[in-house]
Amino acid sequence: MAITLLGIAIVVLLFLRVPVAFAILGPCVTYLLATGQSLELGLRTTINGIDSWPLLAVPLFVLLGVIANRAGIAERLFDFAMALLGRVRGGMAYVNVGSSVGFAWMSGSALADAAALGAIQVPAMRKQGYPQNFSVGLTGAATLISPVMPPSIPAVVFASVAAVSTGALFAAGVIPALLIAAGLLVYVVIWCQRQTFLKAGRFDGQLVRRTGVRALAPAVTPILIIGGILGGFVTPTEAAAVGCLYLLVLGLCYRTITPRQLPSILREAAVTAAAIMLIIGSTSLLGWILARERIPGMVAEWMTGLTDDPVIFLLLVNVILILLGTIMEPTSALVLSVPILLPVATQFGVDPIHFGVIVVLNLMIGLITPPIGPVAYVLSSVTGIPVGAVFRGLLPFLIPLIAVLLIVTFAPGLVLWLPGLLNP
Amino acid sequence: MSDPSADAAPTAGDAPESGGGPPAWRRISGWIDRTERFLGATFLALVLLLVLVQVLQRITVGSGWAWTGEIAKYGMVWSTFILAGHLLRRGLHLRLEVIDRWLGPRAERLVTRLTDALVALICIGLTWAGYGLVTAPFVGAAPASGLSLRIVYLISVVGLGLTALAATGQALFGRPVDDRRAKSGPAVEGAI
Amino acid sequence: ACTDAGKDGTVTLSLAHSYANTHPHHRCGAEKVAESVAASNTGLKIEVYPNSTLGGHAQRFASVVSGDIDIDLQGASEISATYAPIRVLDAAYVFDGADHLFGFFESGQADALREDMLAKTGTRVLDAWYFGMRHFTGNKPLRTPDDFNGVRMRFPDTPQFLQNAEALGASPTSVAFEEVYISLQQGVVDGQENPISVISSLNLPEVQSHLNLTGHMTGFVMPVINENAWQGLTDEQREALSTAISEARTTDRQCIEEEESSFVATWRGDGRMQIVEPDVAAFRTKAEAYFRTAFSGQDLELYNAVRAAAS
Ligand code: NA
Ligand code: NA
Repeated sequence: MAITLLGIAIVVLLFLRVPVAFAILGPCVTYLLATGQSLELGLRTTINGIDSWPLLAVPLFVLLGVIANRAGIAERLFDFAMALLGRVRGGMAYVNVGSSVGFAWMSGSALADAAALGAIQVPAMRKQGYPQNFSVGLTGAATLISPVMPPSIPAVVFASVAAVSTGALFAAGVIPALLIAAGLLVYVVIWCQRQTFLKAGRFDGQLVRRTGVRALAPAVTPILIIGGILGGFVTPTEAAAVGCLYLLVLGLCYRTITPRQLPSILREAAVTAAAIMLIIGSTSLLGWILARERIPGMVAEWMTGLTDDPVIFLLLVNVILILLGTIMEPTSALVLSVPILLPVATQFGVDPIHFGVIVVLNLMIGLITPPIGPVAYVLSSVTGIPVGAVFRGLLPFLIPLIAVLLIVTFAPGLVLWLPGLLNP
Repeated sequence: MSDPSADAAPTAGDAPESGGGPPAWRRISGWIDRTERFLGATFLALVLLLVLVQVLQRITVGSGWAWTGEIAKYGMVWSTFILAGHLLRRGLHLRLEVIDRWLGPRAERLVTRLTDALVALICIGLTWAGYGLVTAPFVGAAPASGLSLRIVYLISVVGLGLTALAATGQALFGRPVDDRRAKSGPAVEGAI
Repeated sequence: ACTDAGKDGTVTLSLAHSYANTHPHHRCGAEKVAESVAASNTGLKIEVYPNSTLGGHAQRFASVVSGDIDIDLQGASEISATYAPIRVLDAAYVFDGADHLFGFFESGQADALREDMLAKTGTRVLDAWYFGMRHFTGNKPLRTPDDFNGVRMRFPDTPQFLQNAEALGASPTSVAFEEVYISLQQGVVDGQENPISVISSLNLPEVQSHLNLTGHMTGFVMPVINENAWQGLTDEQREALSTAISEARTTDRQCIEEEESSFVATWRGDGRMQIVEPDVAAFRTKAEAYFRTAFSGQDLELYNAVRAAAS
């Protein structure tokens, strides 16, 4: 009974636009009072939910994204990809995907990409005559490569909630991220064939060399971060810090960042990270209450009663997560659903790392679907295109993205091959 | 860290920051807001620094002090709670915006007042819980650094108290601007 | 807090711990307690929450203190963050093994410590359960304390464990429990120490080649109950609970020892780990000499009392 009221109260508060963290904390603390637990337990559990070593990577990867953005890294990668691929028919579209893949290796979040690359890619494509819908849709869809490719903030959060290795989950994301890129490229190839305005450009070796040199130092970042983690020099949290230091030094060398800007960089990252961490803390209290009420076990029983086929179970999970993703911001959706769904997945024999990639991919697709589609909001704000038009542009790109999601869901080998290779 | 007001590039909400209400109240909340922002950023800087120290130790001497990681984690906790009020004043908390499309400007203001009152209530409850936590008879110490958990909790509780204050102010005096702007632009930048 | 009487007058107590459903502490410990308490028909019911579902070690101990969890399985080092004197029981080589440990708790020599802890934290230690001897794993043999040279050894981040490292001559590195596997795999650290059951559950034989049977700590966990919850029980219920816990101590130890010998036999058989028999006396002598000077006052008294009880 109390738990039903708790659920209703949270939903009502969420719809009243109470910040997610407080919409969860308020009813949870009331529940503790009503069931004779101590109020202190509520706050202690919330604080303990944040006080976690793997989660320390979250603010540091957020900081990394802010620094990369301010240092003008995206622009350098974009210029190089442009020089390299600009001569191909429809090259600009390939450049878009290519520079997103490059940036994905150093950014852990789709929104950082949307902010950094959206402002460059969309205007550049529009200038060459690409339609608005296609330009903004492709740019938005390509930002999803970032949180799937390591480093990935949602992967860090999943690893912490599910108590699996962050490094293994990072490695597992590489092939799915490349699959997204491939899916988008296939879409672009098909699209280009029906366009008449596209023409091939001229190859400029000089330009390739010049922009290549400019992109060289930023290109070391992923080697430093991913190489550091997978090569065994540092833990993911430490890699994020090393990456921050490296890009900061680059930004200072390039003079795109001045020492006077450091406080504002730190403030921006701290504010963004705080919004995420507060939700993680509040959901850890909710998780405590759900565990106390044995809800995960009940959901597991219900789902195993529904089907005993892991394929149907995973399809069900995909539907639930996509729906959740359309209305919820991904961190909240992740920390809420994983403690409940993961034990069931394990019962169905699904590998937790594989499950992690499915969850991340699903919730990331939610970033570009209405009504809550943060990537669309950011793209709209950096390009000036109305949100509705951005959503319309993004719509057709759901086809390749969902195709990749299905491949990843039903071919666990593709996901688990790389982590297995690193850990024979 | 230098003066928090020395701002080379304008960020998210350098616009109105203190809500409505009497001038003295606006001055005080403006001051609290900047202090929170300064402390939040400082704690993040501390996190970065401590983790880098840990890497350095690993490379040089091959072993690490356990307390660096522990204090870094607390730095993250403090940064989060200290910034809760700042996030509220700037409308930067993550929230569902499903009903926005159906609300007119008047209904919107009304709902905003209501949610601010609710948040005030929730934060007062949490601050009360925090008071209990800080003054509990048996409070341990952090295992590696030996830092008393009372201090760890205290900073978080102060953050919640300031959030309660900010929410109460907004419920009483309203907000100067429609906080819908929060859902686009740098507000969500860098989030997942 | 949860001592609320149900409709039929039954009292339900929560018992939480960190161990997986497959771990002896759950199968042969906590579950057994729940079963025999239920069979006692004293109107007492135990609800078990395994696998850290109600929080990590430190968080759960705080919840036992505040009364939000009734019973928990806690190690001396974890409790020592709130009640420092108990850490001595986790000193390297302070106990010689399970018999010494059980004897110490049964002889009443632990009573003063338990009463002091009750007064200072409001929690009551009901018993001590054997967790297995802690051993070092690594990628080369560890035969004498000198073999620690140049080895980055992972220790849990608590003062007593870090002091144990010093006592044994190792240089400790801090790595979170969740990152032990990946850190060993990638060489961030070279070795670690844990009981056999944990070495197995973390899949460490995949990333470590040597199991060095130092037995440098007699690992144990203590069923700890919130005093208000205890006082809320009738005499029969207390009797039923105490009996169940002391019986489970025996079954738990049996399961742990069976599991340990089967793991070691498997590893030895398929060559996944080389089993090293180190010069235990050398480690023990070094640790004992260290603690006799490092400990003082109440800590030294407790240390000497435990050592004196060794047969
Ligand atoms: Na990434
Ligand atoms: Na969405």
